[in-house]
Amino acid sequence: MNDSPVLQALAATDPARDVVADPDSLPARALLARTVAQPVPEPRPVPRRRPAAVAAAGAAAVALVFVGVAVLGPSGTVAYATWEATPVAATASALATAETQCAPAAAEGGTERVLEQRGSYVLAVYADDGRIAQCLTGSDVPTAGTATTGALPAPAGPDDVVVYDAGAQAWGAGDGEVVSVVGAVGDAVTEVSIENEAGLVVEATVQDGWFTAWWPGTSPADSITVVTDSTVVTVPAEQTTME
Amino acid sequence: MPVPATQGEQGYTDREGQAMGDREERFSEAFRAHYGELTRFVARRAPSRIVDDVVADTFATAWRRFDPEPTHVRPWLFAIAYNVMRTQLRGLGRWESLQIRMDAEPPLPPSDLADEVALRTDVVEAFGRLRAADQEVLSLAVWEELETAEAAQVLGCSSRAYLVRLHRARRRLSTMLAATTRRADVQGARS
Repeated sequence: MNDSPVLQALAATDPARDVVADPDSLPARALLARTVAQPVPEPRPVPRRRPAAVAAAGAAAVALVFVGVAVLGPSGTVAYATWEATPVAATASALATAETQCAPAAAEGGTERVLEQRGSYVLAVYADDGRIAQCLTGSDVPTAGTATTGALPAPAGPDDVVVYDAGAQAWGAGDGEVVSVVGAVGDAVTEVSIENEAGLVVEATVQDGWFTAWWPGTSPADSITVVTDSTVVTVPAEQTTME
Repeated sequence: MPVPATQGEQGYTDREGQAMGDREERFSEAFRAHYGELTRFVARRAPSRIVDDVVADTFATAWRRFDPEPTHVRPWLFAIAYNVMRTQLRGLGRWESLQIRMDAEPPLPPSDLADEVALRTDVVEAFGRLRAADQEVLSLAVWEELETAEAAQVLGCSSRAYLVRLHRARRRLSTMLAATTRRADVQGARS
């Protein structure tokens, strides 16, 4: 890692370089004695992170011709409390809820292309023939949907990415506003992540040549990083194609 | 025929007492192995006045959760320390993110070459202008020298996500460094 002159120079700036911390020192031995004298609670399983779903994708812009939001659920609760930056495979119950509540979006967008779960929320993306509809459902937020129309060019090559909705604006209702990114990826793309202007890095879900990611709030997408087995490329979110 | 359990001085059965002894021994080994690294990890990120408290709270939490068959203890301890630092800083009314500290006057390189001295000065300034998230990713790689999987465990993300973040952080450091160097050149030309 520290093979470049810059990183070697950075390594030399270590602020803890002169910190002396000897485990055999009197204070350290006293700390250890105090620590192990504390009672031990009943053992419980250590929570493990669930494996990330996939990630993928690229850059930019299909005209946002139509945005429709339908608030179908309860409001007044803290929105997106369980949201996570790393998606997981959707549970059966979440899928069933999305299937029921997202019927209008499916009718608008067509074929289900990618579906992901973050915490208790499921985002489904439906698309066909130049139309895309997104639907977000969850336990403590209104069900909301947005639709995008415009040409949907396919990725030009296996390393290529096309972004259909570049996350330039938030959608949703009230405290439930979110920003989402949707696009398509070539076969060689293994992961995609998006960083928004607030500095939040969100792993996307990649599924059957499509990708999507979303996050709570209104901070637009800033950059998109696309990973293949041999490359890692970061481009501005507004860029429309990737080399 | 099962051996009847007997009670020891602490109220544990003999078998429970043996298990506790093993647990304490394993924990003590981990403590001795990582006490120095953990202290320096905290010292790089927290105000000096709370370093000892953070280290103590980290080991206290680790003791409660300790697995007698531990794996990847170092990143596990670092991840606990992160949470402890955030909690303590919130308690102090500091809601901002943890700030990586830097030695603004690092030791001169042995060769004392002017170019190397200038580079270190520029790196200090460029690193200081990075966002906290980028500083953290770089520091885990450069100062803690964590492997990819370890750093990912500390940050609570996948190895892939960590590599992406590291890639971005290195790119931004290079960008900042180039800007810093250009500014120094302009100032030098004016003086």
